[in-house]
Parts: sequence; C-alpha cells; structure tokens
Amino acid sequence: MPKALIVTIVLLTAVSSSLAMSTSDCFDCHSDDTLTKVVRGNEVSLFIDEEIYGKSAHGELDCTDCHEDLAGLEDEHGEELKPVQCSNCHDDAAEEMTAAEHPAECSDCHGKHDILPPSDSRSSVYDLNVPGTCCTCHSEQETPDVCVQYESGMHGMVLLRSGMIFSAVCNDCHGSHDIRGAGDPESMIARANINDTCAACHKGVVETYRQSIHGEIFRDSPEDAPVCTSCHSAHDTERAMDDAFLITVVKRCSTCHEEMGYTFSKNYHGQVTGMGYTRAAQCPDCHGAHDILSRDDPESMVHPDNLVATCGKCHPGANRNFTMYMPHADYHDAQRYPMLYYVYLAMVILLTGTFAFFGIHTLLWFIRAYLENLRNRSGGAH
Amino acid sequence: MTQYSHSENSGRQERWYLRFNYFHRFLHALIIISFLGLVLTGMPLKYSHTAWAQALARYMGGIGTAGYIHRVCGAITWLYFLLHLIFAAYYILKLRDEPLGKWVFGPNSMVPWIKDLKDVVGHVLWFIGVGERPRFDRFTYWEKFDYLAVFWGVGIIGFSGLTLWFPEFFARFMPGWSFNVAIILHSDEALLAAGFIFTIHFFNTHLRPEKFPLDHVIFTGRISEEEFKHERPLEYERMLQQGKLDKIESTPPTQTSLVWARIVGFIAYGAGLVMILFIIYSALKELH
Repeated sequence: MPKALIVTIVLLTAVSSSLAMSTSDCFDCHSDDTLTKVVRGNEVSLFIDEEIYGKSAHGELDCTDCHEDLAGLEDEHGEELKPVQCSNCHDDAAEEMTAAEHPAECSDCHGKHDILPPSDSRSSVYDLNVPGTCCTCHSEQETPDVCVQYESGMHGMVLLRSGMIFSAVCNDCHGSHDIRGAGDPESMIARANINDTCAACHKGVVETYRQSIHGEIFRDSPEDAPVCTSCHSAHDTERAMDDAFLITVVKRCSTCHEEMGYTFSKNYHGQVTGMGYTRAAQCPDCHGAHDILSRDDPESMVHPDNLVATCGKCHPGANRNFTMYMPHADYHDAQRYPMLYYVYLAMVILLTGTFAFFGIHTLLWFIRAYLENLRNRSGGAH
Repeated sequence: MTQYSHSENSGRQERWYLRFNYFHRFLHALIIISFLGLVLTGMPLKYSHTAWAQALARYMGGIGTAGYIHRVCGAITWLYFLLHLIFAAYYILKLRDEPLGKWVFGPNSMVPWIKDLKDVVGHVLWFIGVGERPRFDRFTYWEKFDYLAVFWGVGIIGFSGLTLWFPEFFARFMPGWSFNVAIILHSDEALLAAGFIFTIHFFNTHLRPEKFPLDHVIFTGRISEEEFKHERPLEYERMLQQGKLDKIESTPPTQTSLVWARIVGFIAYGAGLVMILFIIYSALKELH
C-alpha cells in the first residue's frame, strides 16, 4: 500500500510538471526553422536558434520569464502573444524611455532572443554597431540623411574607417533611453545643454570657450550666443584644419557677424578664401576660435597691443605700421573710410573719362574709316 | 585721298622699310605675354564672386597657382620696364648735346606736344567730315597715349603690386592702410589697362578698316612704302629729304613671319575679347 501510494505520488508529480510548459517544450516547436506564421500578409519565421538563445544575455532565463502570458499553459498557445514587458526587470531604462517618448520598442535596438550585453562586440548596441542600429530607422527618414552625414563626418570616419571605439556614436550625444528632440529643454542636444554634451569628450575646448566672449554671453543669455553646433556641424562634423571647414568658416561666423563677413569677402584675404585658397587668413586666424575675446580685452588677438604678434603669425617681420592695414575696409563707405572712398572715386572718374573720350573717338573713327573704305571701293570701280 | 591697300595688288616690286627694330619688337612681345598673363590671373581675383572667375582660376590650378603666375608676369613687366628705361637713358645720353627741342619735342620723342593737340582736334574734325586728315609723323597722338598709358600704368600697377607682394618690407616705411589704397589703385588701374588695350588699342592699331584684321608691323618690324607714305607722310618726307630713307629700307616680311604675326595676334584678340566680355557681363550684372 505505501508502495502504491509512493508510485501514485511520483506519477502525479510527473504528470503535473509536464502539464506546465518548460523551455525545452518551447523548442520542441520553435527549433523548427520551417515554422512560420502570417502577419499582415507576410510570412514570418517563428524559428528560434536554441544555441544563440542559450548564449545570449537572457540564456539562463526561461521563455515564460519574459512571455509571462504563457506561464502555466499546458499545451500549444494561441497565435497572438502579449507584448513582453522588459520593464519588469529593466525598470530604470523603461522609465527613461517612457519620459522621452522615443517611438521605438526595446527589441528595435536590442534584438529579441539574441540580446547580448552592450560590452559584447556582437551586440547591436556595442559602440561600433550603434550607428548601424539607429540607421535601420533613421537613414533616409530625415533630410538631409543624418546617417550619410555622420558617415562622412569626423566622428563617423574615426569610428567606422579608423575603427576607433572612443569616437562619438549616436547615443553619446542623443542619449540611450532618454532620447529627446532638440526642442525639449531636457534634451542633451537642446541649445542650453549642447555645450555640456560635447564637453563629455571635448572638455578642454569647451572650458576655453566658457572663458571667451561667446561663453560669457552664453552664461547670460544662451539664446544669443553661439554654441558648439553653431560653428561645427552636428553630423558631418569637419576637422577644423581641413579646407572644407576653413572655406565655410566665414559663412558660419557671418550668420551673426553679417557685416564683418561681407567686408571680409571684399578684401584680399576674403577674396582668395572665396576662391578656395585656405592659406590666407580666415576669421579664426586673427580673432581666435574657442578663445575669441572682445577687441577691448587686452588678451584679445585683435587688441591693438597684440596685432603685431597676430599678423606676424602669417607675415613674419610685420611691424606696427603693418598692423594699420584694414582687413575689413569698404571703400564704398565714405563715412568710415573717406580716404579710400575718394581714391576709389578718383579712379572711377579716370576710367569713365578715358573710356568716354576714347569710346567716342573710336566710334567716330570707325564710322569715318568705314565710309572712306566704301567710297574708295566704289571709286575704284570706275 | 588715296586709300592704302595691301601690297598684293601693286604692279611693281614694293619697297619695305624698317619701323621697329628687334629691341622694340622684343619689348612688345614681353608686354603681350606678361599683360595677357596678368589679366588672366588677376581679373579672377577682382571678380572672385563670379562663376567665370571661379572657373578660370580652377583651370589655372587654383587661385594660388594663378597668384604665382601673376607674380612671374609682374616680374616680366618690371623687366621690360627697366629695359626700356635703360634704352631711354642710352638714347638721351646719345642726344644730350643736341638742342632740347630736337630730342625732347622732336619727331622721335614720345613726349606729347602742341602738334599732338592739334592732331587730336584735326583728327576728330576729320571723323565728322570737317577738313583734311592730319598728317602724322613717326608717332601719332594715340600711339603716344598708348605708350604713356603703359608707362603710367606700369608705374602705378607695378609699384602698388610690389607693395602687395612684399607688404612686410614696405611696411617698414609705409603705413598699413597704404595697402588698402594700393589694392584700389592696382585693381582699378588694371581694369583701365585691360579695358583700354582690349578695345581701344586693338581697334586703333589693328582692327580699324584700314588695318583689319591686324597690323603686323610690331611683329615683323616692316612697313610698306605705300602705307608709310599714307600713314606717316611727315616722317616719310623728312627721311627722304635727309636722305635717310635708304638706311631703313628692308626686305619684305617673310610669309612665315606674317603667319606668326597673325597667330600671336589672334590669340591675344581671343583672350582679350573673352576677358572684356566677362568684365562687361559682371559689370552689367552688378548694376542690377
């Protein structure tokens, strides 16, 4: 009798445990690589590679740990499963996602049954792979294509061509789970925050910038001061010593300093820069870059006391006389540059006078010589 | 009035006289080469905002290379200017014992004098059908103007160009704002020079109906007797009177030299015409 009882208990236990689904039960069906279902007209594979799953970050978990609605089910399940709630464990990330409203599922970036830790070089969110992961949605979705821009930009080149892991990838500037639009004041790329975001890597230049006239204005009214991205492109970031940057730097400065940009383009440095010659001075050569100071500041590169040194960078031997050259002169402006204006005016009068006299002279001569020619020709026919 | 015509029709063997020696022709060749080089490489900078200037600079290998060519041509300009000054000094030394009136205001001098003023008036009156055509000597008033314009032009453009080429050196005794002045002078005087040479000089000397399409005398150095008599009767008669005509009689220009004169001349016309059209186009565009 006790013997029979024991056998019964053992059998019951076995039966009851076999009634609930176990991970191995799932793979009875899902290891079949021909298993599919149709979702909105498309055939979707239901195959799950047991080996990959086993080695994934979640390999130790049971299927029902995530697919909670299947727990306790005894047999085949219906076609529609409830969404997996990653937030059950990853509550911090989920909270950030909810607050930031980035319209993506966890699986869009992290994968499903093949999730690996971000430190694993095969992970879709490993630094080297982040741009590819983001660009499954963001390529061609935006104009201009930020993915193409990033690839040709400095950050992209360093990461993708040189393979340097420390280069900035999407989430370094945009955040991982708290991704917000630039208009959101809490966004890492909001105007007020962008300098801090860049400073995560470019600490030195941002500190220099904070000491500059631009940094000073930024402290008082961030909307009126240039931030990193005012001068440097966000995605197609150039190297500041490259021609592509030097040729366009005038345009960038001119966004605010419109008149100075115009007068620069009317003088030698600006003219040759406009023709693609970068060895001539551009704005930063005389005014500085991150360290720009007001002209009245004794430390400023364009403070009268420092001009000999500033001009001397390109013009060795430049003296005090030399610095009296006016690189932003405008000879059309009689008020500010009367001497240049009158020299110009004298030249205009000289040119107009010469061309007027010889123009008329030549025209009359042509008519007379032409008539003379005709007369002689008809005269010769006699 | 007899009309000058090219010598092909004349029955007898025509006489030819030497108007320009090798030195004159050599200097003019230097002027052609350097001037075209200067205009082609300099105008793109003056009109740097236009598409044609950008394209022209690109074909020359960028504005940096254009600037290099510009300086080489500038050096050639200084070379012919100095060669001419040496020539003029030699000429003056040779004539220093002659009375002033003979060599400063004489027919071989480039100094404009009362006759030139009379010739201007007389020539313009003849244009409108009043009076006879003035009788010219070795150098007409428009030729003297061409010469003095180049002399003045090389002085202004050449010196301002030098200060802009070596600003660090010139700043030792010139204030920096003089470079601002130098740029205006250099650029507008260059516009005057290019505009004048490519229209007025080309017409007065080569393209007017009597000379069309090209007066080869500056290339071959030779002028036919018929043209000499018609164009410069005073010089012809004086030489005849003084018995010097034989001394300047020369062989006719060879066919090869005439072909070369045309090739060089037409290249210069082409380059000049293109530049003038670009400049006029940009000027009209700026008016809008």
